[in-house]
Amino acid sequence: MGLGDALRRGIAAPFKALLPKNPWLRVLVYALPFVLLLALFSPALDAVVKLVELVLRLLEPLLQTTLGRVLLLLATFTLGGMFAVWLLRARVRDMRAEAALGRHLRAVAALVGGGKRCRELFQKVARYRGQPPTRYAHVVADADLKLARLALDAGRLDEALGWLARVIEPGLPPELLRSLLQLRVRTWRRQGGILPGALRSEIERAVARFPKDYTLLGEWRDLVQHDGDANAYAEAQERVLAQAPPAAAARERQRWIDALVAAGAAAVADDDREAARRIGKKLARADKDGPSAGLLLGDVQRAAGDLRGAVRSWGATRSPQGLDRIAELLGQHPGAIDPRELLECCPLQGTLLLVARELARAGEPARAERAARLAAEALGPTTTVCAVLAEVLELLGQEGKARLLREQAVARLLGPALAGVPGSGAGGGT
Amino acid sequence: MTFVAPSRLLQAEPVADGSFWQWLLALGREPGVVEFGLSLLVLGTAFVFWWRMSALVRDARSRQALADYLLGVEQALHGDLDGAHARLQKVVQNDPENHYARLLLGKVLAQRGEAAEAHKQHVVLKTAFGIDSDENDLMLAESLLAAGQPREAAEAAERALQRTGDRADGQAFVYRARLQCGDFAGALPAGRRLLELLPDGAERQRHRQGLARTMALAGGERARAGDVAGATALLRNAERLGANNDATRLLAARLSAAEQGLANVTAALLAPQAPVPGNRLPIPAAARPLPLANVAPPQAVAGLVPPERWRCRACQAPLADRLVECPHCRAADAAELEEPLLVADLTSPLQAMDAIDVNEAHVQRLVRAVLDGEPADRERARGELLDLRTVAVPALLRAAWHAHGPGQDTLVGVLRAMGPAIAPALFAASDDLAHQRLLPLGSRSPGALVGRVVQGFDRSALPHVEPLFASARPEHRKILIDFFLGLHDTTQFQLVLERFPPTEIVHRLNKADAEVLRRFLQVVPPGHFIAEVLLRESTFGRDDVLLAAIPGADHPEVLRSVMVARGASTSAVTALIAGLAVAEQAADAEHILGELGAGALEFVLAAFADPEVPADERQRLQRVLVRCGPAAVAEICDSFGPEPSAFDDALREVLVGIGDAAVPALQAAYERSGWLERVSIGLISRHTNRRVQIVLALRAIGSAAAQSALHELADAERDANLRLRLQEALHELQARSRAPGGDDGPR
Repeated sequence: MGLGDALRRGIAAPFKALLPKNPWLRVLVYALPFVLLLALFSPALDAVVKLVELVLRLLEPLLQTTLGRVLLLLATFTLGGMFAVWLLRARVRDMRAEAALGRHLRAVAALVGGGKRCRELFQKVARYRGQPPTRYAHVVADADLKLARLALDAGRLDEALGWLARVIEPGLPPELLRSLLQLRVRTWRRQGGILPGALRSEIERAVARFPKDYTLLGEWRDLVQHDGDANAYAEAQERVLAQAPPAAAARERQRWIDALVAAGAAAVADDDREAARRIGKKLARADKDGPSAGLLLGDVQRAAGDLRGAVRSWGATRSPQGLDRIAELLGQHPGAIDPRELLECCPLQGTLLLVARELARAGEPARAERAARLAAEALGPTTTVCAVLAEVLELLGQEGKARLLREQAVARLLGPALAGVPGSGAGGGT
Repeated sequence: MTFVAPSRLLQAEPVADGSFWQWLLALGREPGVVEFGLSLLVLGTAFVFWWRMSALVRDARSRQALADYLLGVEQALHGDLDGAHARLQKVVQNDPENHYARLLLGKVLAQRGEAAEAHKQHVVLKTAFGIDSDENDLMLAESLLAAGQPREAAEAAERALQRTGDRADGQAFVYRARLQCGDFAGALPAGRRLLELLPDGAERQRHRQGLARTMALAGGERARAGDVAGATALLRNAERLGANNDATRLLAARLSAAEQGLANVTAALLAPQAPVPGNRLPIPAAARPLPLANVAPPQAVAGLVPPERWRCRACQAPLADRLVECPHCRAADAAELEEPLLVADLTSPLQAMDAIDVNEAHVQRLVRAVLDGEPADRERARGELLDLRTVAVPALLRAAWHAHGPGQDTLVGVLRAMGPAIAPALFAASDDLAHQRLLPLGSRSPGALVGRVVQGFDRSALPHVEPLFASARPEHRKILIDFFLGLHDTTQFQLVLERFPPTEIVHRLNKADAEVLRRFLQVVPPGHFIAEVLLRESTFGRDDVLLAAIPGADHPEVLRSVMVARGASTSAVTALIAGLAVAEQAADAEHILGELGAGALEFVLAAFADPEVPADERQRLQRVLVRCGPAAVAEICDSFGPEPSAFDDALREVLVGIGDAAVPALQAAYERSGWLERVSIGLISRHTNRRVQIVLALRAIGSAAAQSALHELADAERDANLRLRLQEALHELQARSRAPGGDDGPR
């Protein structure tokens, strides 16, 4: 840098400091010497004066009336405002974007905090068409999604679809895209307006994009369930369970067990024992402490004609369902299993009832009566005991005892509530 | 154009007869007023607009980690709990004042199953930041519920709902939480409010039915507490909700029972197709069948119990299966069986089947239970054995045969309690056992046991026993004798006396149970063959029973005479001495011992010497010894020990009791040398304790004969010490006789 340059910069520095930053003002400052120079020439100045006079003549009548003055005032404010906005347009743009973001935050706060104005606020954000805020560019899409969610929850499906349709998918962050796909799938399913094939492809596309999304998997599971393929449904439910949050895991596990039980029953009905056994193994995993795996195994054995094995499997479950199935089997195949073996296979107190009925049906009154007495002593006069033993006693020709048993059952049901009620006449015990 | 000054505007007065609006119109007509007002309006609007924009911008700019916050919210909403958790954690760390992020974080944590962490976030909001929000309070309550505190959760939610009670989710939460505590009455207000808030639809219908059930259950609680009116009111409310469930029907039936009596309602319920009076809820005619029974349950209970096998432990709602979560109250793992005993383990299926078959194994178990079981089991087993009767006889007899002592007595008692009807089975079992004996020697025959059993039977067993007379089997002969012994009838016993040799009968008498024999002996009449011959046989060894039979005997003198006649055998005297300790037998024993005299002397003296004998028994023994008289003196004097002892005093008392009759014998005993003196040929001093005790005894007797004896002994005595003792005794006796009121009689 030469000396000349330094001198020039030193002289220009105060002017530079005084010059406004705005380029238009800067142009105005630069133009001022030329305008002053032009003012020295009369024709040009006259033209300017004439122009001013013209304006004053136009304004004069307006200034005479209140309406005119009002109009002038409004025009002045409008022009001044427009000029100010034009001058500060970058700042205004930023401020609008930040204000939209602020409104969105308020709407989110209302949504999270259970406020009632969130829909109205989101709608205002959704109407925003200005420059997106730099800190969160997807504010409008976010508002659209939340409005769609609110509409869906309120059952306004068409409105929800409308909000979803406004969302521009390309460029959405994965978090919002996931919501979009979820909401779109849910809305389409509930609305039922599109063809099943389109819905299926929509769901499968969404699941392919987000294979670990619990909600999307749930929708897909429901679709599979609707198809009626029990095995596929069970597999779908297994995938749902794998992604279920802890708070919903228990419910989903129960559903998986139910699905497996249904799939097992279907396999048994189709005589596909291998498939049933596979499902049984899964059931054993799914329902470790429950009886369903044993019940299914018993069903398979029964289907294969292994009645003893079936009884053994059902009995090993130590469940009321196991007892029910044994009772059903014995009802259809009386004497299929010796009472002693029956007790060994199913060593439950409830089995005594079945033994008593088997013996009564086999015409062994003494043994049947002893079994009935054992059962009654062990179980007490509950409803089931009452029902079975009444049948046994009727088979044995002891209607009187059967009636007594029924009376005990009724008294047992009615008795406890009456303790303390004066004049009820209930002693409490049966 | 003229503008009015502001001061003038303020000075403008409303026209006197005009209203405010006229004044305002007049003011507006003043030049510049409208323009001024418009300017203010425009500027004010611009300011408000700017101020609101600024507030929004300020809000937005005050948030840190904004994108994380908004995306975290969206993640929470679409169920990406892990993503939402990470983002919201970050937001809360960077912007602790973002309460909504914290609130949502609490929700996310609750859904992730971290109830404690969620609770912490809500507590921070409430206490640290002072956020008084319904949403936060409800979330706080939810976290409490998730943490297993339903009562506290319900109370927290109720407090939150006091501000805004029109939140259906809040009311549903309170309803569920109250149900989880089993507080049916507490759940009703929230349930009613929820019913009002829910829109028409399936959910409302479901809640309606659930609420009706809750009302019925609350009514049941009221009824149990004795508030029949309250229970009836709840029942009416449940009916108004269109309830048609088992709980409502059951409450109706229970209230009917309270009003009309349990018996009447039970009878009405059992009557086919008959409506229960006062019960407006009809019992369904076609009840759902119970799967196990595959038959319809009794009509009476058909509509009063749910057909489901499971129920919720918390809210008592019937469940179709063992659900992991109750659909009514959302309680986790609350399913319990309606009839749990149906699937309760059978202790032993083998034993149960044995009990049904009543086979040998079962009977043997019962026998073992009678012998070794707990008192309740023992009683139950005994009752069952008595029911089984003849079926159980062989096992019982075999067990009794192998048992000893009290066990055998117990089993014999059971057999006896079965009555005479088991006699044929008993004899058959006895024969079987006898056949099974490989070596009859060394073990008692089962016949003896059977004999013990039949001894407990009465005359009704005679027809079963009489055929045994034709049998030559020794076992049967024993049984016969035992049976007749047990009858306690000497007339019937005549049959035995006519058919069996006395030796055999005496043998059975010796083997008989003490109680049986005692009662038999008590009916023996005077002069009967039994008393005159059998009981006097030396081979008869039941003197103890003989003595025990005297107190209650029809003819006690017969038995006394038998005992005296049997003489002082070792067993007899032992039994008699033992009898002295028994209050009922003591008098007879003393009398008989006295009658036996010198024969029993040694035994009596030995018993008297026993230091552990009680005082009253010792008195009786002393009386027996005194009754023996002079014959006992020599024995007593030989019983004095080498050194003085307390026992010497007791012996001296006996001698004093004998009195003058004892003096010659005492004098003879004094003069007689002991074996030690004889052996030592005078080397041992004559001054022994025995002679001193004799001197003291004579002094205590103190009669003239005693004085005379003392004189003679003193004259003859050469030992200085003994002579001194004798003289002392004499001196004392003389002093006693000289004393006023002195008595020469024995002391």
